[in-house]
Amino acid sequence: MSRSLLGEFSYVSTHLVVLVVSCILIAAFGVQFFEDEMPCPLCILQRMAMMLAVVGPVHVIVKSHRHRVIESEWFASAWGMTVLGSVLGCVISTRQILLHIAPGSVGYGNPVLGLHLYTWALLVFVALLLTAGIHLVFIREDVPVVLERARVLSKSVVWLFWLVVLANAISVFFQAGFQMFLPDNPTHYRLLK
Amino acid sequence: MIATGVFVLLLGTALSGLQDRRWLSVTLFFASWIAIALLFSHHATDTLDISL
Repeated sequence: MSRSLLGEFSYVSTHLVVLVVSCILIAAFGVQFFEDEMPCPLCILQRMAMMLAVVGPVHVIVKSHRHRVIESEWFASAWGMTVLGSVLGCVISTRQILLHIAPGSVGYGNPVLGLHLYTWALLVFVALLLTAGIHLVFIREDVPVVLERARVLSKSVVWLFWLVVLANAISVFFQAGFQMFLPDNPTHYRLLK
Repeated sequence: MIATGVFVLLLGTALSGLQDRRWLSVTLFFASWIAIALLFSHHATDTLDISL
């Protein structure tokens, strides 16, 4: 595979990573609102870590809207952020898995496709670590911007992510109200009662 | 309130990509990382009351 093709692959997969994580966070909203399952503090922290893990790739995409080439330094820095965010996310989700590891524990919330959301979160963080590792191994030159004709699509991916972060901020504000910390076992939105 | 603040910080970090200043993005990223880690350490040492 030629170097430029690798660069193009990196650029497209950067969009895919942000899009997939945004969809996962929207799915978490679906569980929260449609299944009426309030997220616990650790669930919220995992959402935060997931967002933090893709902030770097979002920067790459945003930068690509103003430049024809993404410098390899920026690209490496972005995937480095993904590694750091994912490691933090792994620690948080592992902690929640271990809370429910005792035999007889039913876990927190309903399982989705056989696994609880915090177990899915750990798998997502591991997948992000692997993706970042692959990108960092193969990145050797500046990455060309290949989505010039699909710029609207590229901007939509970024806007979707920004909106997901904003929606989470609003949701958590409703959940915590004017209390400093989130309730350990949430049952209602404090701001509404 | 603190969790909302962290989300706002994350939004700021995400939006900092609009600037061409890498130091700003990196600074905000590490500020967010530390904020999440501190919030986690609070909840991890607190009784969550969600296990058996």
